[in-house]
Amino acid sequence: MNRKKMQRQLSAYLDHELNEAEKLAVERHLSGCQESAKTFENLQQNSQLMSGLRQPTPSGIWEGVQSRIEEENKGSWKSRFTLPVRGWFLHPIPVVSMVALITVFAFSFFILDVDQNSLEDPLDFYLIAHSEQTMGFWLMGEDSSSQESSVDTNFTVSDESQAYLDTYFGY
Amino acid sequence: MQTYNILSITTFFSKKAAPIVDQHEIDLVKRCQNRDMQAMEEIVRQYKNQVYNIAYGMLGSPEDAQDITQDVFVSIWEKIGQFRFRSKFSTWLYRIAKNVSLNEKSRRTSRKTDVVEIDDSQAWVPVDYQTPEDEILASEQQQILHKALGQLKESYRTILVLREMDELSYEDLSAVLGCSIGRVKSRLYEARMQLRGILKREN
Repeated sequence: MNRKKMQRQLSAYLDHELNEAEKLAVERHLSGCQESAKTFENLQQNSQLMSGLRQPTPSGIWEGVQSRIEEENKGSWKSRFTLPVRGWFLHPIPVVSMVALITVFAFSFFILDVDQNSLEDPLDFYLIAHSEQTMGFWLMGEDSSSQESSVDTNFTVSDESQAYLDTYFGY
Repeated sequence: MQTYNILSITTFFSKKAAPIVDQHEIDLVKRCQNRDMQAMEEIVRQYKNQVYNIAYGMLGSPEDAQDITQDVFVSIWEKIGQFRFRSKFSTWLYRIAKNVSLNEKSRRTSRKTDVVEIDDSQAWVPVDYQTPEDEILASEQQQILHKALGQLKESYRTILVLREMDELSYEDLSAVLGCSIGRVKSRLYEARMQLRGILKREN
Protein backbone atom coordinates (compact mmCIF):
# COMPACT_ATOMS: atom_id res chain seq x y z
CA MET A 1 0.00 0.00 0.00
CA ASN A 2 1.44 3.41 -0.90
CA ARG A 3 1.99 6.25 1.54
CA LYS A 4 -1.09 8.26 0.53
CA LYS A 5 -3.38 5.29 1.00
CA MET A 6 -1.72 4.48 4.30
CA GLN A 7 -2.12 8.06 5.53
CA ARG A 8 -5.85 7.83 4.93
CA GLN A 9 -5.88 4.96 7.43
CA LEU A 10 -4.22 7.03 10.14
CA SER A 11 -7.44 8.66 11.27
CA ALA A 12 -9.20 5.31 11.70
CA TYR A 13 -6.09 3.92 13.42
CA LEU A 14 -6.25 6.82 15.87
CA ASP A 15 -9.88 5.94 16.63
CA HIS A 16 -9.15 2.19 17.03
CA GLU A 17 -11.54 1.45 14.17
CA LEU A 18 -9.26 -0.81 12.10
CA ASN A 19 -9.20 -4.57 12.06
CA GLU A 20 -6.10 -6.46 13.21
CA ALA A 21 -4.55 -6.82 9.74
CA GLU A 22 -5.07 -3.13 8.89
CA LYS A 23 -3.73 -2.10 12.29
CA LEU A 24 -0.55 -4.14 11.80
CA ALA A 25 -0.04 -2.68 8.32
CA VAL A 26 -0.36 0.88 9.64
CA GLU A 27 2.02 0.21 12.52
CA ARG A 28 4.57 -1.29 10.14
CA HIS A 29 4.26 1.74 7.88
CA LEU A 30 4.59 4.22 10.76
CA SER A 31 7.80 2.62 11.96
CA GLY A 32 9.36 3.08 8.52
CA CYS A 33 7.94 6.46 7.36
CA GLN A 34 8.91 9.61 9.27
CA GLU A 35 6.46 11.86 7.46
CA SER A 36 3.49 9.63 8.23
CA ALA A 37 4.66 9.30 11.83
CA LYS A 38 4.74 13.10 12.13
CA THR A 39 1.27 13.42 10.60
CA PHE A 40 -0.03 10.83 13.04
CA GLU A 41 1.52 12.67 15.97
CA ASN A 42 -0.17 15.87 14.79
CA LEU A 43 -3.55 14.19 14.44
CA GLN A 44 -3.17 12.76 17.91
CA GLN A 45 -2.35 16.18 19.41
CA ASN A 46 -5.31 17.85 17.71
CA SER A 47 -7.58 15.07 18.87
CA GLN A 48 -6.45 15.62 22.44
CA LEU A 49 -6.97 19.35 22.04
CA MET A 50 -10.50 18.80 20.84
CA SER A 51 -11.26 16.43 23.70
CA GLY A 52 -10.13 19.28 25.95
CA LEU A 53 -12.98 21.39 24.62
CA ARG A 54 -15.41 19.19 26.52
CA GLN A 55 -16.71 21.01 29.50
CA PRO A 56 -18.97 20.33 32.43
CA THR A 57 -22.60 21.01 31.68
CA PRO A 58 -23.94 23.98 33.62
CA SER A 59 -26.50 23.27 36.29
CA GLY A 60 -30.18 24.03 35.80
CA ILE A 61 -30.64 22.34 32.41
CA TRP A 62 -33.45 20.10 33.63
CA GLU A 63 -35.12 22.94 35.55
CA GLY A 64 -35.11 25.06 32.38
CA VAL A 65 -36.49 22.22 30.27
CA GLN A 66 -39.16 21.44 32.87
CA SER A 67 -40.42 25.02 33.08
CA ARG A 68 -40.55 25.29 29.28
CA ILE A 69 -42.48 22.01 28.99
CA GLU A 70 -44.94 23.16 31.66
CA GLU A 71 -45.38 26.50 29.89
CA GLU A 72 -46.08 24.73 26.60
CA ASN A 73 -48.53 22.37 28.29
CA LYS A 74 -50.44 25.38 29.63
CA GLY A 75 -50.41 26.85 26.16
CA SER A 76 -51.81 23.65 24.66
CA TRP A 77 -54.71 23.62 27.19
CA LYS A 78 -55.51 27.19 26.25
CA SER A 79 -55.40 26.32 22.56
CA ARG A 80 -57.96 23.57 23.08
CA PHE A 81 -60.52 26.16 24.10
CA THR A 82 -59.75 28.77 21.47
CA LEU A 83 -60.52 28.68 17.78
CA PRO A 84 -57.41 28.12 15.69
CA VAL A 85 -58.08 31.23 13.61
CA ARG A 86 -54.37 31.82 13.06
CA GLY A 87 -54.08 28.34 11.59
CA TRP A 88 -56.86 29.04 9.09
CA PHE A 89 -54.93 31.93 7.63
CA LEU A 90 -51.86 29.77 7.38
CA HIS A 91 -53.69 27.37 5.05
CA PRO A 92 -55.76 29.58 2.69
CA ILE A 93 -56.15 27.08 -0.18
CA PRO A 94 -57.94 24.31 1.77
CA VAL A 95 -60.04 26.88 3.65
CA VAL A 96 -61.18 28.66 0.46
CA SER A 97 -61.95 25.35 -1.26
CA MET A 98 -63.97 24.19 1.74
CA VAL A 99 -65.99 27.43 1.81
CA ALA A 100 -66.62 27.17 -1.96
CA LEU A 101 -67.73 23.56 -1.59
CA ILE A 102 -70.16 24.42 1.21
CA THR A 103 -71.59 27.33 -0.82
CA VAL A 104 -72.13 25.15 -3.91
CA PHE A 105 -73.72 22.44 -1.78
CA ALA A 106 -76.09 24.88 -0.07
CA PHE A 107 -77.01 26.55 -3.36
CA SER A 108 -77.76 23.21 -5.03
CA PHE A 109 -80.12 22.36 -2.14
CA PHE A 110 -81.94 25.62 -2.66
CA ILE A 111 -82.36 24.98 -6.40
CA LEU A 112 -83.63 21.42 -5.83
CA ASP A 113 -86.10 22.69 -3.25
CA VAL A 114 -87.53 25.28 -5.69
CA ASP A 115 -87.89 22.66 -8.43
CA GLN A 116 -89.73 20.30 -6.12
CA ASN A 117 -92.20 23.04 -5.16
CA SER A 118 -92.80 23.92 -8.79
CA LEU A 119 -93.63 20.26 -9.52
CA GLU A 120 -95.95 19.87 -6.55
CA ASP A 121 -97.81 23.16 -6.93
CA PRO A 122 -100.13 22.28 -9.88
CA LEU A 123 -101.02 18.97 -8.29
CA ASP A 124 -102.01 20.56 -4.98
CA PHE A 125 -103.94 23.23 -6.81
CA TYR A 126 -105.79 20.63 -8.87
CA LEU A 127 -106.77 18.56 -5.82
CA ILE A 128 -107.98 21.60 -3.87
CA ALA A 129 -109.97 22.87 -6.84
CA HIS A 130 -111.52 19.46 -7.41
CA SER A 131 -112.59 19.02 -3.79
CA GLU A 132 -114.11 22.51 -3.72
CA GLN A 133 -116.12 21.77 -6.86
CA THR A 134 -117.39 18.44 -5.48
CA MET A 135 -118.41 20.07 -2.18
CA GLY A 136 -120.29 22.74 -4.21
CA PHE A 137 -122.42 20.03 -5.91
CA TRP A 138 -123.43 18.50 -2.58
CA LEU A 139 -124.28 21.75 -0.81
CA MET A 140 -126.26 23.50 -3.57
CA GLY A 141 -128.15 20.58 -5.11
CA GLU A 142 -128.61 19.89 -8.80
CA ASP A 143 -129.60 23.50 -9.65
CA SER A 144 -126.29 24.79 -8.67
CA SER A 145 -124.66 22.76 -11.43
CA SER A 146 -125.91 25.34 -13.88
CA GLN A 147 -124.19 28.06 -11.90
CA GLU A 148 -120.70 28.98 -12.75
CA SER A 149 -118.07 27.55 -10.48
CA SER A 150 -115.89 30.08 -8.74
CA VAL A 151 -112.91 27.82 -9.39
CA ASP A 152 -111.41 27.75 -12.79
CA THR A 153 -110.36 24.17 -13.46
CA ASN A 154 -109.39 24.76 -17.03
CA PHE A 155 -105.72 24.67 -16.40
CA THR A 156 -103.27 22.27 -17.92
CA VAL A 157 -101.66 19.59 -15.83
CA SER A 158 -98.26 18.40 -16.90
CA ASP A 159 -97.86 14.82 -18.15
CA GLU A 160 -95.84 13.97 -15.11
CA SER A 161 -98.51 15.18 -12.68
CA GLN A 162 -101.23 13.42 -14.65
CA ALA A 163 -99.36 10.14 -14.49
CA TYR A 164 -99.02 10.61 -10.75
CA LEU A 165 -102.75 11.24 -10.38
CA ASP A 166 -103.69 8.25 -12.54
CA THR A 167 -101.47 5.94 -10.57
CA TYR A 168 -102.40 6.94 -7.03
CA PHE A 169 -105.89 8.42 -7.17
CA GLY A 170 -107.44 6.95 -10.29
CA TYR A 171 -108.40 10.35 -11.73
CA MET B 1 -34.62 -30.89 -1.55
CA GLN B 2 -34.35 -27.80 0.59
CA THR B 3 -37.28 -25.41 0.52
CA TYR B 4 -36.95 -21.70 1.10
CA ASN B 5 -39.47 -19.60 2.90
CA ILE B 6 -39.99 -16.67 0.54
CA LEU B 7 -41.40 -14.49 3.29
CA SER B 8 -38.35 -14.90 5.50
CA ILE B 9 -36.01 -14.18 2.56
CA THR B 10 -37.82 -11.00 1.60
CA THR B 11 -37.95 -9.93 5.24
CA PHE B 12 -34.22 -10.55 5.50
CA PHE B 13 -33.47 -8.34 2.49
CA SER B 14 -35.98 -5.62 3.25
CA LYS B 15 -35.13 -5.07 6.89
CA LYS B 16 -31.98 -3.52 8.25
CA ALA B 17 -30.21 -5.20 11.12
CA ALA B 18 -32.12 -4.65 14.33
CA PRO B 19 -30.45 -2.04 16.52
CA ILE B 20 -29.04 -3.18 19.80
CA VAL B 21 -31.03 -1.44 22.50
CA ASP B 22 -31.26 -2.01 26.19
CA GLN B 23 -34.58 -2.68 27.85
CA HIS B 24 -34.17 0.13 30.36
CA GLU B 25 -33.85 2.64 27.54
CA ILE B 26 -36.96 1.25 25.81
CA ASP B 27 -38.94 1.50 29.06
CA LEU B 28 -37.69 5.02 29.63
CA VAL B 29 -38.71 6.15 26.15
CA LYS B 30 -42.12 4.45 26.42
CA ARG B 31 -42.78 6.15 29.75
CA CYS B 32 -41.77 9.42 28.17
CA GLN B 33 -44.16 8.77 25.28
CA ASN B 34 -46.88 8.43 27.92
CA ARG B 35 -45.93 11.95 29.10
CA ASP B 36 -44.11 10.83 32.24
CA MET B 37 -42.06 13.83 33.42
CA GLN B 38 -39.87 11.71 35.70
CA ALA B 39 -38.77 9.62 32.72
CA MET B 40 -38.02 12.81 30.81
CA GLU B 41 -35.94 14.04 33.73
CA GLU B 42 -33.95 10.80 33.62
CA ILE B 43 -33.36 11.22 29.88
CA VAL B 44 -32.15 14.79 30.41
CA ARG B 45 -29.78 13.74 33.19
CA GLN B 46 -28.45 10.86 31.09
CA TYR B 47 -27.79 12.80 27.88
CA LYS B 48 -27.35 16.46 28.87
CA ASN B 49 -23.52 16.34 28.75
CA GLN B 50 -23.45 14.88 25.23
CA VAL B 51 -26.06 17.30 23.90
CA TYR B 52 -24.37 20.26 25.58
CA ASN B 53 -20.99 19.35 24.07
CA ILE B 54 -22.45 19.00 20.58
CA ALA B 55 -24.04 22.44 20.88
CA TYR B 56 -20.89 23.94 22.38
CA GLY B 57 -18.67 22.42 19.70
CA MET B 58 -20.93 23.72 16.93
CA LEU B 59 -21.63 27.20 18.29
CA GLY B 60 -18.59 27.92 20.44
CA SER B 61 -20.45 29.75 23.16
CA PRO B 62 -21.42 28.29 26.57
CA GLU B 63 -24.52 30.48 26.87
CA ASP B 64 -25.80 29.50 23.43
CA ALA B 65 -24.94 25.87 24.11
CA GLN B 66 -27.06 25.97 27.27
CA ASP B 67 -30.04 27.42 25.36
CA ILE B 68 -29.62 24.91 22.53
CA THR B 69 -29.42 22.02 25.01
CA GLN B 70 -32.76 23.08 26.45
CA ASP B 71 -34.23 23.51 22.94
CA VAL B 72 -33.10 19.98 22.05
CA PHE B 73 -34.76 18.40 25.07
CA VAL B 74 -37.98 20.38 24.62
CA SER B 75 -38.00 19.25 20.98
CA ILE B 76 -37.46 15.64 22.11
CA TRP B 77 -40.40 15.93 24.51
CA GLU B 78 -42.57 17.21 21.67
CA LYS B 79 -41.45 14.64 19.10
CA ILE B 80 -40.92 11.55 21.22
CA GLY B 81 -44.27 10.16 20.08
CA GLN B 82 -42.78 9.89 16.58
CA PHE B 83 -39.90 7.67 17.77
CA ARG B 84 -40.61 4.14 16.48
CA PHE B 85 -37.63 2.24 17.94
CA ARG B 86 -36.15 1.64 14.48
CA SER B 87 -32.81 2.98 15.69
CA LYS B 88 -31.10 3.49 18.99
CA PHE B 89 -32.71 6.27 21.00
CA SER B 90 -29.30 7.93 21.42
CA THR B 91 -28.84 8.03 17.61
CA TRP B 92 -32.20 9.76 17.24
CA LEU B 93 -31.34 12.18 20.04
CA TYR B 94 -27.91 13.02 18.56
CA ARG B 95 -29.52 13.64 15.18
CA ILE B 96 -31.96 16.13 16.75
CA ALA B 97 -29.11 17.77 18.69
CA LYS B 98 -27.06 18.09 15.51
CA ASN B 99 -29.97 19.51 13.50
CA VAL B 100 -31.05 22.00 16.16
CA SER B 101 -27.44 23.21 16.56
CA LEU B 102 -26.94 23.52 12.79
CA ASN B 103 -30.25 25.36 12.37
CA GLU B 104 -29.30 27.80 15.09
CA LYS B 105 -25.88 28.30 13.53
CA SER B 106 -27.27 28.96 10.06
CA ARG B 107 -29.90 31.30 11.56
CA ARG B 108 -27.10 33.27 13.18
CA THR B 109 -24.97 33.20 10.05
CA SER B 110 -27.88 34.63 8.07
CA ARG B 111 -28.00 37.46 10.61
CA LYS B 112 -24.30 37.93 9.85
CA THR B 113 -23.02 37.34 13.34
CA ASP B 114 -19.97 35.17 13.70
CA VAL B 115 -20.90 32.87 16.56
CA VAL B 116 -17.59 31.06 16.63
CA GLU B 117 -15.76 34.23 17.50
CA ILE B 118 -14.84 33.98 21.15
CA ASP B 119 -15.04 37.00 23.40
CA ASP B 120 -13.86 37.44 26.97
CA SER B 121 -17.24 36.65 28.48
CA GLN B 122 -17.09 33.21 26.90
CA ALA B 123 -13.78 32.31 28.52
CA TRP B 124 -14.02 28.84 29.92
CA VAL B 125 -12.09 28.00 33.06
CA PRO B 126 -11.19 24.33 33.14
CA VAL B 127 -11.15 22.68 36.53
CA ASP B 128 -7.99 20.61 36.63
CA TYR B 129 -5.05 22.76 35.57
CA GLN B 130 -1.99 22.82 37.80
CA THR B 131 -0.96 26.48 37.50
CA PRO B 132 -2.56 29.73 36.32
CA GLU B 133 -0.12 29.70 33.37
CA ASP B 134 -1.40 26.29 32.27
CA GLU B 135 -4.91 27.62 32.57
CA ILE B 136 -4.17 30.63 30.34
CA LEU B 137 -2.37 28.49 27.79
CA ALA B 138 -5.22 26.01 27.64
CA SER B 139 -7.76 28.79 27.29
CA GLU B 140 -5.75 30.34 24.42
CA GLN B 141 -5.46 26.99 22.70
CA GLN B 142 -9.17 26.48 22.97
CA GLN B 143 -9.87 29.87 21.48
CA ILE B 144 -7.62 29.06 18.53
CA LEU B 145 -9.26 25.68 18.16
CA HIS B 146 -12.76 27.18 18.19
CA LYS B 147 -11.73 29.68 15.56
CA ALA B 148 -10.27 26.90 13.45
CA LEU B 149 -13.44 24.81 13.84
CA GLY B 150 -15.44 27.81 12.68
CA GLN B 151 -13.44 27.86 9.44
CA LEU B 152 -14.14 24.21 8.67
CA LYS B 153 -16.81 23.05 6.26
CA GLU B 154 -20.07 22.34 8.11
CA SER B 155 -19.95 18.59 7.48
CA TYR B 156 -16.35 18.42 8.72
CA ARG B 157 -17.09 20.40 11.85
CA THR B 158 -20.12 18.22 12.61
CA ILE B 159 -18.27 14.94 12.28
CA LEU B 160 -15.30 16.18 14.32
CA VAL B 161 -17.50 17.45 17.14
CA LEU B 162 -19.50 14.22 17.26
CA ARG B 163 -16.36 12.09 17.25
CA GLU B 164 -13.96 14.04 19.43
CA MET B 165 -16.33 15.59 21.94
CA ASP B 166 -18.98 12.90 22.22
CA GLU B 167 -16.77 9.93 21.26
CA LEU B 168 -19.34 8.40 18.93
CA SER B 169 -18.22 5.16 17.28
CA TYR B 170 -18.01 4.98 13.47
CA GLU B 171 -21.20 2.91 13.47
CA ASP B 172 -23.06 5.55 15.49
CA LEU B 173 -21.62 8.31 13.32
CA SER B 174 -22.87 6.56 10.20
CA ALA B 175 -26.36 6.27 11.75
CA VAL B 176 -26.46 9.89 12.92
CA LEU B 177 -25.09 11.35 9.70
CA GLY B 178 -26.91 8.92 7.40
CA CYS B 179 -23.87 7.71 5.46
CA SER B 180 -21.77 4.57 5.16
CA ILE B 181 -18.96 3.68 7.57
CA GLY B 182 -16.51 4.04 4.67
CA ARG B 183 -17.73 7.58 4.11
CA VAL B 184 -17.40 8.32 7.84
CA LYS B 185 -13.82 7.09 7.73
CA SER B 186 -12.82 9.23 4.77
CA ARG B 187 -14.74 12.32 5.94
CA LEU B 188 -13.10 12.16 9.36
CA TYR B 189 -9.69 11.88 7.76
CA GLU B 190 -10.37 14.87 5.49
CA ALA B 191 -11.78 16.90 8.40
CA ARG B 192 -8.75 16.18 10.57
CA MET B 193 -6.33 17.03 7.81
CA GLN B 194 -8.12 20.29 7.09
CA LEU B 195 -8.15 21.21 10.77
CA ARG B 196 -4.46 20.39 10.94
CA GLY B 197 -3.79 22.70 8.01
CA ILE B 198 -5.75 25.59 9.57
CA LEU B 199 -4.07 25.17 12.96
CA LYS B 200 -0.66 25.13 11.29
CA ARG B 201 -1.45 28.42 9.55
CA GLU B 202 -2.79 29.95 12.79
CA ASN B 203 0.35 29.00 14.70
